[in-house]
Amino acid sequence: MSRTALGQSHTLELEIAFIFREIFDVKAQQQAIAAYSYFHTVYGASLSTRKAVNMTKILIRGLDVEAIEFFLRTRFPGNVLTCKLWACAYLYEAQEGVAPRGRIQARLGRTNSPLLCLVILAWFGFRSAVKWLKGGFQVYRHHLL
Amino acid sequence: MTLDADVIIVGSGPAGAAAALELSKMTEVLMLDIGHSAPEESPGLDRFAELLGERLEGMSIITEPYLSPKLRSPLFRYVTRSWRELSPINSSDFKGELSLALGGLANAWGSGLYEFDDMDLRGFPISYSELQPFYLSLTKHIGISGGGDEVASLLGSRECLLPPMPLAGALKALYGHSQRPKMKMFLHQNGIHIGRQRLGILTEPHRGRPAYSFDGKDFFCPWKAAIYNPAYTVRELEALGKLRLRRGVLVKQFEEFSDRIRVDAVDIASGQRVEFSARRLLLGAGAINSARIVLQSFKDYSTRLPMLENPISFIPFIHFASLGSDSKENSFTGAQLALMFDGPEHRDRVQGSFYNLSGVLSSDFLFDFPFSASGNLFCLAKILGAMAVLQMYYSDAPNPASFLSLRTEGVLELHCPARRFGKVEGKLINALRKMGFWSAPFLVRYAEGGSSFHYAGTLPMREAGDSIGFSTDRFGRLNRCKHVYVVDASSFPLLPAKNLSLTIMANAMRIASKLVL
Repeated sequence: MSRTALGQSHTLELEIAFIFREIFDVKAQQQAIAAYSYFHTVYGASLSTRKAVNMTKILIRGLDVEAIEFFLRTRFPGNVLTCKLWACAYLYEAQEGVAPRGRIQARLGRTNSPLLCLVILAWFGFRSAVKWLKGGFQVYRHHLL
Repeated sequence: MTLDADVIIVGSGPAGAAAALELSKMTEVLMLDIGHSAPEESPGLDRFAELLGERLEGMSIITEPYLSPKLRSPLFRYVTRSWRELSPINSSDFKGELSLALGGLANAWGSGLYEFDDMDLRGFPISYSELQPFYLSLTKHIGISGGGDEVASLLGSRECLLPPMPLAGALKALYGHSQRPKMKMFLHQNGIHIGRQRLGILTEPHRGRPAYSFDGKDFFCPWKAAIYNPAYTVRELEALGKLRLRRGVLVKQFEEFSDRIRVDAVDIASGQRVEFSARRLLLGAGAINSARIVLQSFKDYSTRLPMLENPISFIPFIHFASLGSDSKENSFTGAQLALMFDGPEHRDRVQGSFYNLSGVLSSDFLFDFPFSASGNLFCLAKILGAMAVLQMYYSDAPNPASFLSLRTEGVLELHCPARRFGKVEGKLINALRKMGFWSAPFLVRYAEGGSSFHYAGTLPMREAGDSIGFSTDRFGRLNRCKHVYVVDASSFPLLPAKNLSLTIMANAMRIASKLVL
């Protein structure tokens, strides 16, 4: 494997570890890491035509990947970061055998009441608005595009 | 001249399988098909390979155009394998799929098996009474489950039906609401009828096949014998020695002689040209590929054949009282309820099927909610189980914008533009809101051309004396030919808003039963 390819593979490993930790609060297993790398091989040509974001800066500076993705999704649908996050959700589902769960969700516990669900959704609406502002700020502050 | 068989059937889908079922009672049948099969059952398959595939095919919607969940599912990829190379189509608006698999596109169908009544058969030169014996025979052969409510009579006879599939989750609640007398009256006043489905899925063991059991893998496991597919009939006839199946051949064209029909095909493995001869030829390769074979046989590069397809729309609903419920509840993941609409908003009846979302990967819907990732993940766990999708089918009739023709290099030129309606959807949204199911017009999605996989009408059936161009008579015999018959949906002159598979099968049996050998 060439040094460039090795470096790229290492970056992808860091990416999936970061996304799994920040979004799902679980550790990415080796099979998921390998599949994430393979995803970039299989769908790389299509990804290269989409709006890209500087992932290295997000990783090194530990930026809020959820906020940045949400901001970019509203401005550039189908951008590379959204695709990467989506791929991670599939890999989570294959790794854990259940629907992907967010890190906040684990703290909410078992919410089976329809009313409580609506309240939580309203809260997520407010939280998403805050995340959008934060994401926009980080994109321009750190020159991520 | 030695004949290979009395009758050659091209294609192993619903039409070919049903024609073979009828013909095998009286004569020697040879079936020609590419016949891709499902991969061998392997119990040790890991979850990544099963859900996402060796080449991550299950994740294709991230970057590629939408493909139905079942056809995207890794182990179902055989259904649509290689048709683009072997049966090429040039089209800017056809977004459908063809199948060269044993059993055809029915390998990935929703299993709805409805009868066409006389209202559906308006414009056909045949009536319900001619199809009825074959509907009954197929109901016994396949094992069709269905209900006894008022919608059942709109979907077909209740005779010999197995008990209906159990309902679950939000759709169980919807059915309960819709059957209350006051609500029923309100729905009827608005032209809406909601009832149980008629499905080719066994609720009891039937002719050596087991009853359906839930494991959440309907979209990922192609080996569930409880869900009927025509390949079972073909294999059964082959095992009984009543049918010879020649796989791996692509039929290109035929030539008719006074005493026989010669069929020219290509052996896919070797690339060699192969010939078959028989007294009669039955085309059951599907509306698009049967038309291709006919045009190639006559070397006709100018005729435009009509192309019919059911335009479809999708209406997502949320049942607020079910919010927070488990999205993977123990229930069948296909169509659970049927809806018929006959209000003044549309000229013809419109048919719908309600699906829950428990069978597919939750990640498919990750970006269908309007929140940041954490909010959307919460929705996957707590909202998806309260959601249902109503898929609406509209009827179709020949129109100048939808047609196919053959180019000299053998590629089909196909035009099948998407169509949008909206009035019916609006009325349904308002009506279902009264039962606690919320949706909004901006959430309705209209599928692109070809997405219903219900293709028909390319070689339409006409009354005797009315035969023009490439059409068939009421017995399926192709105009300009003596011994070539069309048994698939190519011969439907109109396409009602109903799942067409059972009628394709019944009509194929009807034609086969009238064949004079």
